[in-house]
Order: sequence, then C-alpha cells, then structure tokens
Amino acid sequence: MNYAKKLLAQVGLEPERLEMFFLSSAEGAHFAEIATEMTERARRLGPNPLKNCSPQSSASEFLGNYDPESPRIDTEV
Amino acid sequence: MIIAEQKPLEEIKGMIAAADKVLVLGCGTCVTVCFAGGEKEVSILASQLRMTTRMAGQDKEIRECTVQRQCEPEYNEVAAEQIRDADLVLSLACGIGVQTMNEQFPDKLTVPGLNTTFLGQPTEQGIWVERCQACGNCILELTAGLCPIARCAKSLLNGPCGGSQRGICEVYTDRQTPCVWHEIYERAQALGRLDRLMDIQEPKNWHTSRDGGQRKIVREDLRL
Repeated sequence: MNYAKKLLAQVGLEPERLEMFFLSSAEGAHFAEIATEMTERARRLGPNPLKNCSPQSSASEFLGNYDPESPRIDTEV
Repeated sequence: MIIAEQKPLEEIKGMIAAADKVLVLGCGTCVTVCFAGGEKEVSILASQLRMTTRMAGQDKEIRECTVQRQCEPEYNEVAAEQIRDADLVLSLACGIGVQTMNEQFPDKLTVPGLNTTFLGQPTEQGIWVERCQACGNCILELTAGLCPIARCAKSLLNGPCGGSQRGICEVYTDRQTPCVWHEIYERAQALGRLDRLMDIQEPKNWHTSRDGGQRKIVREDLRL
C-alpha cells in the first residue's frame, strides 16, 4: 500500500486518493463511514488530474496492450 | 547475480521526452529476480509513464513487452515487430541487455531504464549486497570462502589493515560494513585453516580484471 502510494506520488497524483480497508460484508456501518471518508477526500482533493487530460480517457488506454490471453514472456525459441 | 535498480522516474521521463511511441522492454532473468525490470516492473513503470505524460499534456503511446533474456538475440527477435514499431525502446534490462538491443536493432535507439549496479547476493528479502568483483582470478579457497577483493574496502590480500573496530570496517563505518578480514579470520579458525592465512599472497595481477581491458572468453569446444 505504501509502495503504491509512493508510485502515485512519483507520478504527481496525491497519495491520499488511494486507500485500502479490510472489512467483512457484515460491517455495513463501517463501510458507510469509509465511503463517507473517501468521498470527503475526493471532494477535498478535487477531480483526478488525469480525468480531463486527453480526449481518450477510457480504461483501455491505461491498460495499454495488455492481453490476458497472450503469454507475455516468450520462452519458445 | 547482476543487481540493478530502476532509474528515477524524472530521469526516465527525460529520456523518452522526444519519442511518441515507446516500448518498455523487460527482461525475465537477473532483473526480474532483483525486482527491477521484470514483467511486473514493466507494467508498473508503463502505467506511471502513461499517467505522467498524460498529465503533462503529451500524447504518447507506451507499449509493454518482456523477453526471457535481453542479452541473447534469439530472445529479442521474438519482440522484433514491436521493437520496430516503436520510436524508442526503454529497456529495463541490465547494461548488457541494453547494448545487445542497440547492436541487434541498430536503427532503433534503446535507452536504459535501470542503473546496473553490482554482482550481488540477496542476503535477506529486499536486501542485496555486493559479493563479487569479477576480478577473473578467484581466491576464495585461500580466504575461507569470503572475498576480500569485493568486500574489503582496500581489497587487501594478506589480512586486515588493523583499522577495523568491533568488526566494522574503518573506511565505511557509517554504513557499518563488516570487516571481511575479521570474518575471514573467524571462519578460517572455525574450519581449522588458519595456517593458510599465513601464506603470503603476492601483489594481485589485475590483468584478469577490468583493469586489463575489456575481457573476452573464446571456447573453441563450444563454437559451431
């Protein structure tokens, strides 16, 4: 988690945008608190700088040429 | 094995600044094992580069690929089409892989995303320490299995300099580097081989090391 936050900071995104919580499906009230907290953070930090940067902002852009089916390290020589 | 570290993101951004299509090329051998340039690291770095170039208003295409071992042309050939398609290749292999790529695809510049640092050992999870200097003439048999060339600040061959305190090297006290001659002594004593340490080693012939020039090995028995 700390590593992921550090990666975001290097890019220039606020590390507070990312957080990890552990809770079970029975902890409804806790989930609501967390949702409120993260919403507060998002409001405070403003829109994600990446959102309006380019006309193409779909998820596929960020995935690059990732293809779950293809082997990415080729060992057949 | 070869240990390398990723260059700072700012430096990498500078290297790819002029290119529109960049291929981030990883290596599945040494740099995977030291978590610097394997498939995962390629994926993370490519994401970071997409994000950061996007935020800077640049429109770059960052592609990813990882080959088994970048120092061998047969493995790089597998990614040839992607390499040719890119304006620039950002290699996350060691310096050897980067150079092999530049030789194999001379009309495509391959730049290094890593700093190749040393030959080392993972002493514990997340820590790598230099162990070997590739001096070309291994004396580990004489020094109870610990290398003074790589691990002694002065590369002494005939015992400690006498400056170490509490087993810590006097040159690298701030890093708390252990005095390897202290360790050699302890181990030799434990193995009952202290007498070997009394043999005088002559000044090292450094010709077999990098000091003798770029090294090359030719094995006629292996040549096709």
